[in-house]
Amino acid sequence: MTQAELADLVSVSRQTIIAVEQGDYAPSVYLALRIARALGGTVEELFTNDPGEKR
Amino acid sequence: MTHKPTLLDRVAERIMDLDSPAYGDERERAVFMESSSFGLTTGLYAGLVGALVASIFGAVLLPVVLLAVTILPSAAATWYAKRRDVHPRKLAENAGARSTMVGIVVFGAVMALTFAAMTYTVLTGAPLVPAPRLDVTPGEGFLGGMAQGAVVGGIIGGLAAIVGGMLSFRRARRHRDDVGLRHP
Repeated sequence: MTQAELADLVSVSRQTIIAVEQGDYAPSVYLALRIARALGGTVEELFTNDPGEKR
Repeated sequence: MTHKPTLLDRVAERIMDLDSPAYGDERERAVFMESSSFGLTTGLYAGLVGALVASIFGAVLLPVVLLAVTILPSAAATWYAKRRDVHPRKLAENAGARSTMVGIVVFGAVMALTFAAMTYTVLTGAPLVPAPRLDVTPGEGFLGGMAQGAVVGGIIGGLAAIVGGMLSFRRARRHRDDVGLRHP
């Protein structure tokens, strides 16, 4: 799945998906759940809380 | 909002139109709000500097108007937040952020200097610094031509902005209809 396709599925812009992937933006609970559902995984699997990562 | 909405609350909601798709998705909305805050702060300092400069050149009414116009957006923002049980000043005090203290000191100092310059003008009848004299008759000479052009250009520019904005809005609406994403 491309970033654009994922963005369309979860109703956000592609730039937002990029920002989430790069750790520049922490999605809301609702968006995180939509992304996890779209990718067939869970929020815990997709989003870690590594203190070493950028915000 | 935890208070019963007043007429002012309803006007504010209408102005903000927070459900508008123009804000984009949640990240775009957050960035938009941050940028608005940045714009507010920039306007605050620009108004402050403008008031100080005007008072140095002997103006009395203009600095007061500029200071009022500068304080109004900040007061409006504080009112909006308080209606939603967020108190910006308390947050700043509790955080003890150095940047907040610097901002308060700079704002207070420039305000004090502005009023000091105005006091000088009022008491002595002369400006702190004499302003260069500019005699401009619209339509005459280089400056007069520029002044006339600026006024007419401003009117045409304003009308063009309205027309351009409406065309842009209709184009975007047509695009949304084409991809079946029309919002009710």
